[in-house]
Amino acid sequence: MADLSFVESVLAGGFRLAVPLGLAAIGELVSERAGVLNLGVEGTMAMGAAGGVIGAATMGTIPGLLVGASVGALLGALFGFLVVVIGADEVICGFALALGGSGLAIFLYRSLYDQAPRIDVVQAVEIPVLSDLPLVGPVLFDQPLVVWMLPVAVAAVAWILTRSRPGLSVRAAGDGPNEARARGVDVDRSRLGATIIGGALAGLGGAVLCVALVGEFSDRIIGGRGFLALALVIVARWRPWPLLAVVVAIGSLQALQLRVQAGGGSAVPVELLQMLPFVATIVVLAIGLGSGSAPRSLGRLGQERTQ
Amino acid sequence: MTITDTRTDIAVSAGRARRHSSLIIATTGAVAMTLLATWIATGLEPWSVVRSLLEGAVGDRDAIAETIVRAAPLALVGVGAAVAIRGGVVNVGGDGQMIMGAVAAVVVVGWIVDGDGAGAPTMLVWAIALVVGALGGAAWAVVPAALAAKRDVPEILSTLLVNFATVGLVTWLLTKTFLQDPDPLVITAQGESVADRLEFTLLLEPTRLHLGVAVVVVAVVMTAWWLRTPRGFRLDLLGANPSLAAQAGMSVVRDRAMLLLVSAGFAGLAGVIQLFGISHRLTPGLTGGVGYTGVLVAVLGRSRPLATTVAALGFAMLATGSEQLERDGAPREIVLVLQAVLVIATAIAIRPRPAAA
Repeated sequence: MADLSFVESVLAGGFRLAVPLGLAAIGELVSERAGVLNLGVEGTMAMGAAGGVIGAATMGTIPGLLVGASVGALLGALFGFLVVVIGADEVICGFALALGGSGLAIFLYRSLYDQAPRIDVVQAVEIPVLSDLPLVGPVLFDQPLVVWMLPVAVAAVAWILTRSRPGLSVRAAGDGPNEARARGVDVDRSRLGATIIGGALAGLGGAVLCVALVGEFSDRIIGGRGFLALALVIVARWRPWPLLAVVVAIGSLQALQLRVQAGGGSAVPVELLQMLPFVATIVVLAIGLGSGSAPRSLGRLGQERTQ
Repeated sequence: MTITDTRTDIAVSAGRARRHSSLIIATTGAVAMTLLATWIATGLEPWSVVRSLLEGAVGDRDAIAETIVRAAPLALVGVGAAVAIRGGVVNVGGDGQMIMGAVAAVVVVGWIVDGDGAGAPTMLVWAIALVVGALGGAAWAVVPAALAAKRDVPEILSTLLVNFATVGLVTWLLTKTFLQDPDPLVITAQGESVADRLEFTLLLEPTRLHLGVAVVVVAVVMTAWWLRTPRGFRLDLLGANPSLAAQAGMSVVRDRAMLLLVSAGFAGLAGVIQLFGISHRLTPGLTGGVGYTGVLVAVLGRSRPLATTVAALGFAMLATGSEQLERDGAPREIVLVLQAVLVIATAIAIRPRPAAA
């Protein structure tokens, strides 16, 4: 039987690593529920990460995270402006944002710093009593407080999408833009709002990764998390709570890889474990868990315009 | 010609002129913005940035040769992506497909020749390697193609996921398997260097301009020709109007899956070109990101093979020029930004407009 402390540490690491991925994914979920596919999450995360590190190095951790989220929101607004307002192709713009954003993040960081600036990584906070519980204690209640941003963000998105007026408008924009327009919903405004929120959460995700968890920025730090987030939204069928479960599962696979890498002497080579989050996602998609239930207007912005 | 025809013609050419002018405006604005940003971030004046880029890219004969060498794989991946885009398929898995094409070529070439490259005529080995590379690249797109056909998973996502999975796989292949460099002093992930006689012949020493460039030219010209045949027109129908294509008896799902494999084949071919022309061994960085930027040049080239090749030359100029720029003190990633901005400018210029306008 596997050692309990091993399981604990993998799950605890999984919860932490799920946070950047999950924030980006829940943001993309909002955008896609409005009918806008933003392929640029990877670049937005990178910019949020670079912005976050610059902010954290000059002003401290919390301002750093805010800078990351703001940079992300700005890129979300830019993307929304391009595809919703101007009507440029969302796939082309998204892909360009993914590559250009990653490039710009590295460019800015290298222009500013010759060596990595000092950032204080957020310390874990032990919550009394609860942290003594077996398994859930160390996994959930002996963590840096920033990890709670993920469940909070997921709960907020779930609530907003189902219970609030702007949320209903967002869903109406995604499911039936023409009907929504006929009923007086400002579809473009809802979509723009959704891309801004999506961008802010992706930027925050990048910032959390670098500022709170790793403590530095490096060229390949995002390492495909943005693209993974896009795929996980499909796996979760565009629903917030299943998305939380999925990102924690994938985060745990990443934690497992890091754990084995640190421990050494594993039967399975580390390089192959690196593939695990991506392969697992592909397998889940292949089983067909993600098929169906996409917002009806998703990926069709271009057609909508020419109608 | 009837009056309505003439009117349509005038409307079409007016639309084209407007598109061209908006493309020029968007591009100029985008470049100006990037230069301004560079100025603010690094203190390098726009004029000196442009001069460094141009000098580095086309300043002398060697620079021009280097630009062409870099454009070659980019054009190949780009033309493959362009063919797919015309049929409504977006293949962004070029990076993984390139490297697996090269891996396949190394494995098969290893079976037919010995360590010095003896055992078969060089030309034959190259031909086999190119075919195997294309097949290897295509094989790497089978899962995304099946997912798109059977499970409605967008290939744009699945090919990206495969790319990231490939990074780990290749590192493993080049550190823990028979493909790793047998030299015990080498600890980085890399393969054994290919036999000297199997390296593509250099055409213009001391530059890296090699025979593989000719292969690219042939592939591009053949693709451009093929797109003008009836089958090429059917491809455009598939992309522009899938339901009409289905009525015309085409199997949309099967043809799109096929198209993804073909496009991946181009990338695999590009991987072999880089292997025998530039890197001379398997490395995780063999692609230099060409698998991604190839899609961008296809967009810039509006999915036309010759225009895509011109765009590839432009991007290669930026890449070659950026090395000069880096010596001036600007991180070369500025070129990635410039490339993305150019693509977005194109997307703005070619956006669909309401029919009434």
